[in-house]
Amino acid sequence: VSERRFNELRGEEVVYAVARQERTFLPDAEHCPLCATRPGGPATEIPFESFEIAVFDNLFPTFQAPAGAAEVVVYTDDHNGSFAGLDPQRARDLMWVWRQRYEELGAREDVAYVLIFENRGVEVGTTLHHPHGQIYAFPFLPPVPAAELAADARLGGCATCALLERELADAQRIIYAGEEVLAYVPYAARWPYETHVVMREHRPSLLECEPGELDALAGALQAVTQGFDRLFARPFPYVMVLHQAPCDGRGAGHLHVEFYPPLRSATKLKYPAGCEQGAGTFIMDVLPEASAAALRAVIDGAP
Amino acid sequence: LLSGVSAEPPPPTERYGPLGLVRIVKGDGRVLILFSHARR
Repeated sequence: VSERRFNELRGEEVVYAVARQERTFLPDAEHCPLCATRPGGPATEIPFESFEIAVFDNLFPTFQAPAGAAEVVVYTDDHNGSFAGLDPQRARDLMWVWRQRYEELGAREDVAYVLIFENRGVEVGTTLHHPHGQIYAFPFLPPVPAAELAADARLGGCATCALLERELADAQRIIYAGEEVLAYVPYAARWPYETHVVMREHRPSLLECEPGELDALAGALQAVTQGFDRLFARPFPYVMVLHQAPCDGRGAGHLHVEFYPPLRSATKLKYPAGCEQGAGTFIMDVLPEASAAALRAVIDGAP
Repeated sequence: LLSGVSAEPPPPTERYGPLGLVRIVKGDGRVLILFSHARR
């Protein structure tokens, strides 16, 4: 059971989930808990010989009922796959899985916010290489979506809609342009190749999307992540996070997916260090316009 | 290992798209949901 403490100086909650200290750490493929269970092999989290997409309660939960939930979403039974490399239909199916989990978890009384994310690569702390993401159903509204709601209030409407219009008008940082989905390196990116994949229409969450928009979102996310892998000709580490409306029924929010990749070159990492952690101000070595130009050269569907 | 298996009825398309799901309760009480492509 995790414990919450309020950090007064930062004005934010800290969650202590000390059982996670013992979680499985970078096992070899033979002992991967996210693989299918092979005849005669060790039992895994998924006691079947094959599967398509599997979701289960995290064995080492940060949150659990009656104060939230923590789930694992396994994209495929192919241990060596990746989100970028999924069959396009599987990627489209994943959008429906995310949507179903957002709906079911978001309807719970003990859930205020549903965070769907993927940590890819040891550089961002992944502990299992098998292609998967996670879902944290928060019992409180965490600071980032709260800041987005504050941005809505500051800009007098949907901030993501306003920023989308600015990016379209400027056009320098757009890296993918589909009919339903736009991707860009944001004007004030906090990571060298930070990328936002944004629904063009105002959709608070996956629940408001038309089926064709979900397909388009899957296509855009795969185009971007495939481009990432081409950029430095290596698997590109990233944190991928869906930003959606909180689950309080207000409907505020605009579905978009943010990527926070830590690489600033093929071999160098951007560390959030003294200035970023001590002052809260990010210092970037590369302008977003230069990052966008580099990404446009490797992304299918780039304008 | 498994303490219960329940296949939900065919889901409304508008909620689950092309997917069907099976909800399973594991021996330790945790829930496993298998999503599969209903057209198969």
